[in-house]
Amino acid sequence: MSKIINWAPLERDYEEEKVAHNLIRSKATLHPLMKNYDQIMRRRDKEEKERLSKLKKKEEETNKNKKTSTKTKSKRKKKSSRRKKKFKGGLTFESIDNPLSNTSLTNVQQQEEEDDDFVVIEKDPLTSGVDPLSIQAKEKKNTQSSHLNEQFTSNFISWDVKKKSILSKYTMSGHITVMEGFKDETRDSQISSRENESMMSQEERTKRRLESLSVTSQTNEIKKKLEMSQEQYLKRINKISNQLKTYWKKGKRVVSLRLIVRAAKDLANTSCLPFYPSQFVLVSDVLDMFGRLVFERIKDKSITTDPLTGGTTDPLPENFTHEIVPEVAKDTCYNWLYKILCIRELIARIYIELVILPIYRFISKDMHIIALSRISRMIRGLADPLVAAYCRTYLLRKALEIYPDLKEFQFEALNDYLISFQQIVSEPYLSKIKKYQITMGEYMNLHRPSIEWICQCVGHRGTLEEFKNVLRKYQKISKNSLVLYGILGSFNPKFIVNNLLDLLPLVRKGDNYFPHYLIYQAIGNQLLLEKPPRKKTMRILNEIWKVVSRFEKIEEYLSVSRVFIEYTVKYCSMKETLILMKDIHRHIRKLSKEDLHKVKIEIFTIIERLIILSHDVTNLLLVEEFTKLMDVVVIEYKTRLAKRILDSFSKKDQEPTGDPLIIHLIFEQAKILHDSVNILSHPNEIRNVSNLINNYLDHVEFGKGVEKHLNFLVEARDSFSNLDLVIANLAIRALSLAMKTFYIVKKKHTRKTAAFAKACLAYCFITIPSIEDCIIRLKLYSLSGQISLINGSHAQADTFFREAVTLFKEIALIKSEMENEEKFERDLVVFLQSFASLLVIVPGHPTYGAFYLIKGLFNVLKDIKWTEKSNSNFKFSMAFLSLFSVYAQKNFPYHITGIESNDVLYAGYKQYKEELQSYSTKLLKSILNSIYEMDDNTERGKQKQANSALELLNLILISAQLNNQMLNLVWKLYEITKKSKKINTKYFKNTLKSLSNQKGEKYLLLYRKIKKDN
Amino acid sequence: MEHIAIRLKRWNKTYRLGETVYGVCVVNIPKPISHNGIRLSVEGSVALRSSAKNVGVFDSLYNTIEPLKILSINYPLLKPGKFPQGKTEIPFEFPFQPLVESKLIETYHGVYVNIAYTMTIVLARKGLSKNFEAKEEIYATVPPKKTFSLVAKDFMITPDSLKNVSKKMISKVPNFSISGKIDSLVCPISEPFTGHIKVDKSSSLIGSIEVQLIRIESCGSKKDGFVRETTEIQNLQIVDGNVSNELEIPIYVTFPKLFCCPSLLTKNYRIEFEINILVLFTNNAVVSENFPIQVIRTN
Repeated sequence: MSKIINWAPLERDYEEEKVAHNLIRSKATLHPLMKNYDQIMRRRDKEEKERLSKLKKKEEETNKNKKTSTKTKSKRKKKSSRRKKKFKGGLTFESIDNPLSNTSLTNVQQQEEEDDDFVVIEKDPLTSGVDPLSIQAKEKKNTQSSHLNEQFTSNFISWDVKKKSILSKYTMSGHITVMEGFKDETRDSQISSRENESMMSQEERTKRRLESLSVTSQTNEIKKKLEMSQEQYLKRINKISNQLKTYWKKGKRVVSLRLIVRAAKDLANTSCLPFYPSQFVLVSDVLDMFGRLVFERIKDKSITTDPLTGGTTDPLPENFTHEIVPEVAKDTCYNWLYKILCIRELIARIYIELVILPIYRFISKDMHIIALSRISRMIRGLADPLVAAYCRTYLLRKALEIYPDLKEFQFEALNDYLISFQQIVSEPYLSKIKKYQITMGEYMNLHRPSIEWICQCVGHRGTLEEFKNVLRKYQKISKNSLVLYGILGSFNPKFIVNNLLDLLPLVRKGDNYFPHYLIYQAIGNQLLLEKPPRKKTMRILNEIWKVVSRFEKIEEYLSVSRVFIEYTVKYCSMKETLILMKDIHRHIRKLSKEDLHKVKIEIFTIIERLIILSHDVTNLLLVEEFTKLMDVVVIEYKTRLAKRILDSFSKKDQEPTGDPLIIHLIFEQAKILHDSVNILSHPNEIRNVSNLINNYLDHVEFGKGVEKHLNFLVEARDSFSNLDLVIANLAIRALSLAMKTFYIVKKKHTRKTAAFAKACLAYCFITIPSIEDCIIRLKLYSLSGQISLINGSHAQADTFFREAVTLFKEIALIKSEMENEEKFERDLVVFLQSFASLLVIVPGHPTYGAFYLIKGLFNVLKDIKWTEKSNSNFKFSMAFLSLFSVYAQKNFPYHITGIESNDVLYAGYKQYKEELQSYSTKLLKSILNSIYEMDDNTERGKQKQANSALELLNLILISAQLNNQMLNLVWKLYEITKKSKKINTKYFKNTLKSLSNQKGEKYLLLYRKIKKDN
Repeated sequence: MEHIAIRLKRWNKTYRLGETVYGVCVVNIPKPISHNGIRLSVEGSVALRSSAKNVGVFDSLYNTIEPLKILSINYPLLKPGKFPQGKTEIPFEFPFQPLVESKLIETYHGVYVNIAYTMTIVLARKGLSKNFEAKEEIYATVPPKKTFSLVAKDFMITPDSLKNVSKKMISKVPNFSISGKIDSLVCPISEPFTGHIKVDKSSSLIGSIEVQLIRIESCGSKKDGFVRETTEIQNLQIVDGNVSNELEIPIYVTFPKLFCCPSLLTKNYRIEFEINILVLFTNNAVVSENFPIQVIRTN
């Protein structure tokens, strides 16, 4: 396209158009000066991305499945027609006197950018009443507190969770004694090979069995003992489980059984007491695996081959019943059971029968229950309370898998444990405990996981009747504090809380083998879940605190305090909380430095809980007791404390504060937080901290004391200089301050207020350059320029705009080095588009002419290398072409009150018009060039070209005179759009429709021609 | 590869008196052969062997007493002819009936008494070729003839109840009292032997309590006297350690397959069972209580 086409702008009457198209002015929903703008923008970006990815997915789906494509399309159409409203012309037809409260230019432009269809989103997701961020925050809080709920009521702590905690908790440093026979594999394989000989006669087999019987009884007497460390033990268990797998694969079931019997027997070995719980977990894992192997094997056996015909049956369904199991499989089950019931050692017999319990399902409907109740009683034969307790744990685990609703065994288990526990104080267990040099308390701690599990099974969904029964039994035979702890922690909190005053004496009477503070803690946790009767709240607290405050160990005291401070906040008045804080402080004060150091984490968690729970952290900070507590841990937990406080401060949904004391207190915390971040910090952490500080800054409000506020901002800039986002926010705060003043004087500045506004702008001018992010800087410059214009400060506005333009020089240099260049470029284009609409109202320079900013901008833009295949050049050129079209009008669509824009300044200037003409023509040429370049012979390129051509066509129809030259161009553009099949049809139709509405003969002709062509 | 095999229709190969045994004889050969017919025979016998202790090793190996035949079936399955190459199945059936003067006795494999039923199929080859042969054991169960009733027994073991304690030793026996109950001394073989035990008191520590199932085989005659042989066929620990004295601990012993059969009392041989309850103290003292039981077959 070598011929030069002149751009002849169409004259338009915006007021008339506004009426004709019924364009209503709507309120701004989003603006940089709004609070939380950053967060909202980020959210929007995210939503946009999600929307795009969803669309993409949909498209992919439609591509994949052509049958359903029509369906989705119609859906999309419906959706979009609901959301879209036809939009004509490049800009809103609004006169602007304040960009901050009305439809903002940037906003509209951005929306245009988002939807290529030139539509305005009617319903902004952010306008829907509730702030999504605050909802999120609330949800977070809920989940935090409900997490506790789950632990104690509805959610049963699964074995897998429990398992991990046991393994990490119970470790050992000593050695464990193991029978040597365990390691002897060679003998195993020999035996197995002998046994596998099918040739062996019946008599020989019998003989051998008798031999092996006598052998084992002999070796039993001369056991060789091996010492093993924990690591070796772990290795050994792994080895057993691997061996088991390989033997099983080879079909050596007898050897496998032998191995597993040994593994189970190992659980009778308490030679390393402190490790026993972990030992149990390790071995039970292997046992579980064995159980699965046996079950699967029998299930496979159920696929029978008919001996006469050789056909096979189908495998059993998941929910099979014993009726459909073939005899062969049942026979195998019986064989397994016979083998297991013949195991000599009690403990091995119990464990292994439990392991293969699921196979009873093949034989009968309810035999497991009978077996379970028998095994449950068989466990009574295990005299060692620790071994028996874990055995019961295993039984309950298995019972839970098969019959979750069966309570019988759970009560029996607890009852039996209580009875057998009386043994503990007798020989040989006392001497055993002594031998391992552990205290009774430590010994009881070994019981803890199993008792917790048993009690959990008992208490889970337990009824009041059951609770009372259990308690009655407990009272009758035992003073075991551990069991009491388990009962109190596992039953419905309602039962506990309602009977609490009767329960407390029981706690006091309980033995000292288990630390009482844990019981009080458990009670406290239950209380937090269930509100006690109002009359009793104080009595409960007093009763408990009578005991707790006398605790000798500070750790114990503090861990109970942590729970009960929450209690006072929740159910009592501030007075009680204060008293409790005082009490805590009194306890801490007595401590030596070393002791204090040890419990600092506890103290910190108490403070943390208080901050999280408090409705208003500022109230808390003003309380002397609280600050005293804070002083104790402030050195170690400075940052975390600061984060919590700021978090709490900004989360509360209350009015901003102007209280200098509070502002100062929080300021200090914010500073600590700011100082905690450095160059090495994770970007998320930096963003997090910035958000916290920004939230705080947004909450500071001095009312009419604007100067005080500006001073505050100056101080803040000094303190938070390292955080880009905070600095940007500070600039925005300063700008809103200027706008606030503007409104205070009712849009008419006095000399004094004008000077203050200038001061605010000067603050921005100093602040903005220290921000690293170019896009933020550009946006802030443009925004500051707008505010300057509103406040009547031409000179400052000019400087800001010039700064923005010069910034492009820098951008040209660094652009290619940006991490995410494409996004950066998109942001730049968006800015340029928004800047173009801003330039409409910016008056020309008295000496440098009307277009000096644009000239400068074009000069620097030349140096920017746009990425290949992007249509950035086209996009911003289009924006500027519309700008020039507006410049040619007699009246601009919008103004700033008090500012004379170019329509007034250069009305009737010949030179202005000529210059405008030449710029427009040049731009049109460059636009056309870039449209031609888009076609790279790919389908994508053609699509892009067609859509771009359609855009230009639209612009021409709206804002250019339709002379012959133009008509030619329009027709050509139309033909380009026809080239691609993937053109935006909706947009195309709307364009046609708007063409049909245009008045004038030429438009009508054009419309008919196109219609005909279609 | 086996050239000839027996496949019984019943998967557990267990039959009762008068039942018909169905099955097929499978001949599988690589090339066609002619033969002199197939014969099917079933032998049931009681084999007795005097104890090694009484006769000496040499005798015990060779001087087994002539087995007592209780069942004998023998008939030709197929007349002489030819077999094509590959698989041929010849169905057979015969009634499971003992000899006229004998009774059917349950299959049992003991050390000195052996009661077995073996089925053999022989394919006679022509000329000097070796005959093809296949063997299969058939198991016999004998239903009970009369109804039975359970005999429960309570027991109490104290130092006074011990019988064979010398007067010297009586001072060393710890002071204890163990009570319990055996649900029945007449025990159906398919059901477990059950009961419970409770340690009421014990002055010294208990290490273990075990339940022992003893089998007594005896053979011989009234004239020569009986040779008794006891074997422990099951030993289950039911208490491990010094157990708490308030809880009833269950006894649960199953009768192992093949090593057990219903108690058998005949002229020439007997198979009897006993239960021993052993209390092992940590000071190596052992106290045991013996209960003879009758094992029976039930439906």
